[in-house]
Amino acid sequence: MNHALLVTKNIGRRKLRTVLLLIAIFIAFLLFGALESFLQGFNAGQNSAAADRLVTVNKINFTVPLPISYVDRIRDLPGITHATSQSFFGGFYQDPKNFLLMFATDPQAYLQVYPKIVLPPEQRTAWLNDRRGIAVGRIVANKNHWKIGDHIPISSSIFSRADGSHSWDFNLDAIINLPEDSQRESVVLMHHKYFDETVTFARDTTSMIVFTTASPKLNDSIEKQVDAMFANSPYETSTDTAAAFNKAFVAQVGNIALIVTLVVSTAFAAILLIVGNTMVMAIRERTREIGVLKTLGFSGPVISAQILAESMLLALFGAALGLGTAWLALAATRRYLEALIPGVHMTGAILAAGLGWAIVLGLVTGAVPAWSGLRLRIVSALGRR
Amino acid sequence: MATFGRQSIAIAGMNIRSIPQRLWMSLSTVVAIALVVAVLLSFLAMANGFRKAQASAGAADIAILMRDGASSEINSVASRDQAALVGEMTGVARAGGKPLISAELFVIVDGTSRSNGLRGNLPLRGITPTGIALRHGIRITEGRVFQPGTNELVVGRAVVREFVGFEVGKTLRLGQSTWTVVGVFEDGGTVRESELWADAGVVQSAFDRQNFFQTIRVRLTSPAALPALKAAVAADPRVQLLAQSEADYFAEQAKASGGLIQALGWPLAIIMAIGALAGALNTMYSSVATRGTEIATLRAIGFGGFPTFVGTLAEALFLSVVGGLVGVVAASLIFQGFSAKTLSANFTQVIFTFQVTPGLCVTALILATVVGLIGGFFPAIRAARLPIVGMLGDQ
Amino acid sequence: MSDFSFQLRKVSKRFVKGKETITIFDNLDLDIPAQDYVAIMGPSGSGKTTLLNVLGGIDQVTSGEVLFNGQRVDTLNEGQLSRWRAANVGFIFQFYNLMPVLTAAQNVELPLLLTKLGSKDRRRHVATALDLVGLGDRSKHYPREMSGGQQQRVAIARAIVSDPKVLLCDEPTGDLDRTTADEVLEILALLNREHSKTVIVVTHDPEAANHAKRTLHLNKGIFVERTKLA
Ligand SMILES: Nc1ncnc2c1ncn2[C@@H]1O[C@H](COP(=O)(O)OP(=O)(O)O)[C@@H](O)[C@H]1O
Ligand SMILES: [Mg+2]
Repeated sequence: MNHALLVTKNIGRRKLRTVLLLIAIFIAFLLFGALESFLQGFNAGQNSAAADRLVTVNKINFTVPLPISYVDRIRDLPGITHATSQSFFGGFYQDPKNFLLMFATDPQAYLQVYPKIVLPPEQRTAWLNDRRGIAVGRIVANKNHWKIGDHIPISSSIFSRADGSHSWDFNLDAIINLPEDSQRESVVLMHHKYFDETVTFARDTTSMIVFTTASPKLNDSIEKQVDAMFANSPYETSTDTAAAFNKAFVAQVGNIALIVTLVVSTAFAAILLIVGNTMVMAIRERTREIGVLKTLGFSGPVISAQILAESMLLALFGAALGLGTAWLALAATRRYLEALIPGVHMTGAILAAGLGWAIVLGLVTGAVPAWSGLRLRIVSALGRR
Repeated sequence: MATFGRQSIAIAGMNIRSIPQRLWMSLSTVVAIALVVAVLLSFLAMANGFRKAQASAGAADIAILMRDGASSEINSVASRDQAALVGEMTGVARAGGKPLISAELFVIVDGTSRSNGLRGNLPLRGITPTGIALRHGIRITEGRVFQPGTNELVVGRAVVREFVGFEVGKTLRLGQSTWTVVGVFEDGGTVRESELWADAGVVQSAFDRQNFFQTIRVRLTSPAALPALKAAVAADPRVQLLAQSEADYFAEQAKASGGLIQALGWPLAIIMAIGALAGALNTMYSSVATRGTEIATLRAIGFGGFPTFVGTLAEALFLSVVGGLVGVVAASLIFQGFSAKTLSANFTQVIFTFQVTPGLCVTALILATVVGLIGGFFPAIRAARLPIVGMLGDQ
Repeated sequence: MSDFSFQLRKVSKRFVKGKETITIFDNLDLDIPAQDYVAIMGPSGSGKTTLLNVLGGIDQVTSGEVLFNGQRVDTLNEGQLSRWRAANVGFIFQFYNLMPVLTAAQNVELPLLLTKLGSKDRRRHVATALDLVGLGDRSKHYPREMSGGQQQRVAIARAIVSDPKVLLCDEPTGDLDRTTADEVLEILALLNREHSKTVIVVTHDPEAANHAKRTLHLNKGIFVERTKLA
């Protein structure tokens, strides 16, 4: 036997009560793990964006087009390494609800701006040389059960063709695998040339221009330089880092972070009360036993440590169950989830934060009983019957 | 049978009066249930507010015509010629010999959000006085309507509330043109209050969209005239548009994200309710444990097992209903009228306010009651089955 | 080293309750030689338990000195007292006060957790102590599975397992029937005789007093000694 056994024996003393407490803690950490993972998915775009990548859009709004000629003019500025056009295509597959994050772009330039995308050489060659070719992110390909070589009809909710139809035929030439950047794994990329040839309007325009700088230190001055270059033209621009652009876009969906924070803190407040009160009650029930232990020579600090260990063990065990279940649930539904919100997954940081909160919960709920255990006077604890 | 009732009431009364002895435990249950109820109610109020903003914007006697296949205004295209053809069709109401028709342009411009300082998409609608008249509840609360042919804007009340720089008299630059806000309108909290309105022709030239519109709205002679109009549109090959009632259009829009919020709220609330249930069970089991001797004494002097059961259940229900009421009141105070915005199917910000209704409050209270019922049921069974002899013999 | 186990010098103990001050004892002197077996009797409320608590360092005196082996113990702080108790004093209570969640062996082992002994040594000590009280075969039993007499024997085993010099017993037979009470008293006598323990027993039980070498009667804060006729 040892002190640890004493602690676990005490936890196991009222099994039902312990199980109920564990359920409450489990629930709170399940919510924490799942919701924080969702939030992380929402913010994936701003978190994964490279620091040296900037985005230029029309100053009025990013849905208002810019002349395609701007791409070259931006690329020619000193300090800018690569630049590509990126036009919303408004694509969907079979059902307008199954919309695609689809862009028309210059494949060669796109791959320069996103150097982390490494396509197998034969796929790369095929896509660069195939005017009707598309490169597709892994998540989209999985979701729609597409594979290399497939011929895929995609419709646009924005553009129409000269013959009045809204459907384009594409060849799937390449699949983008880039686990660290779920956004890249969710895009569909077509040739801007094919786009220009077939659409009835918006020719020679692009919705945005994405480019890289020689160093993130240049970002501020380059942002100003680009916007100054097009100031007072019919198409004024607004340039920002890709991270800031993504952040502003995601913020439009709603204050997801606030909602997650509210729900999670509500759940934590509830378990803090439930577990805290139950711990106080549990220790009060053991007053006499604590008096006996002190009589035997167990010092106040040892008693307090045992009580804290008890609350800590409860909190950590419940938290481990909750976080573990959230992790399993996310992993099991990953295929479905990442099609909705790419990048939903429990990061190490979320796990660490969860365990950190568990320690806080253990400390806070154990604090009052540990203090009374420390201060407990033997004579009054033994009392009279 | 009648004595059952009296016994139950007696025991319930005793239990509830003894709650102060277990004040902190009972309080933690009340608060936990209150928090769950508040979360559920806030989600329901959010979904409800969003739905109302959309749904109440649509009228049954207005038809909206969009490109075949377009699910929202931003994706639609309509030409001046098509508008002219639609104006002559059956079912379209007329005033002074002219059809009540409005061809509208819908473009997106940036605004700066007050809450986070970030850029957000605002819909700028190119419209005519006839178009404004097609909207039923519009009321100018400040300033006036734009003068046709000028770079003037009237803006929805919600835009002024949520975005920087849209007060009357302020100017903003869109591309190379400068616009002046001349009025603010109100529309009973609908999605329209999230829009900027300007003269259609001016918007067309500013955005280089001469002769192009997004949607066509017409007043129907009556809601029943819609099928006739639909048929007429379908019969004319020059008009590649689809007609639907404005009410249906907005109902569909509301479903898109309103459903999602609600679909999120319930599972969250139920998961949290399970946690609160664990707390309630815990509290009630300890209540039964601390009253063991008292219960056994009552049983010994002739009280039945069933009244003991009912009495304990009543205590749990009391705690949960108190918690539910606290949660409802707190959520109502905090969230009623709370302003929020989200991205609509039009790719623009829909500004809406949380709407707590009595019906939603009742729904939330039912959840609290269910937690109380389950949280009291099992401890109540234990109370009813407590052995009389052992409990009295001890101590 | 002193020949005395405990010495009380002018010890006073008062409780203040509101405006009232209750004096339990005033200027009390007491010497308990090493290896003594003393019974303390007296009416209920006379301060027997309080005296035992003062000796065991779980209650403070209002004034005066308490010495153990010639050393002051009333001046020790709480941590020092804990260590002193663990090393020198074994307590036996009327209601046994075993941990319900621990087996007999684990209950006995508790005080050894405060020593540097390894688990093997601890187990050996526990077995010895349980054998001594005649419960070697009950080590895996929980308190609720044992009779009152057996529980009290486990409590004695717990009190002696770390080999303290003194056993302080507060009504050790108060909750037991005659036969089991006698068994417990036999064990205490044995511990005094064969294992050189100083035994101090607070009791109402004349039989318990008979086992002692001498009996002190506490009344109104004063001792009246009656040495046993042997
Ligand atoms: N904490 C206390 N506060 C006030 N009075 C106390 C306290 N503890 C004991 N007493 C009083 O001291 C007296 C002696 O108690 P005690 O030592 O338990 O007597 P005994 O063990 O001889 O029955 C009693 O009158 C009791 O009421
Ligand atoms: Mg006593």
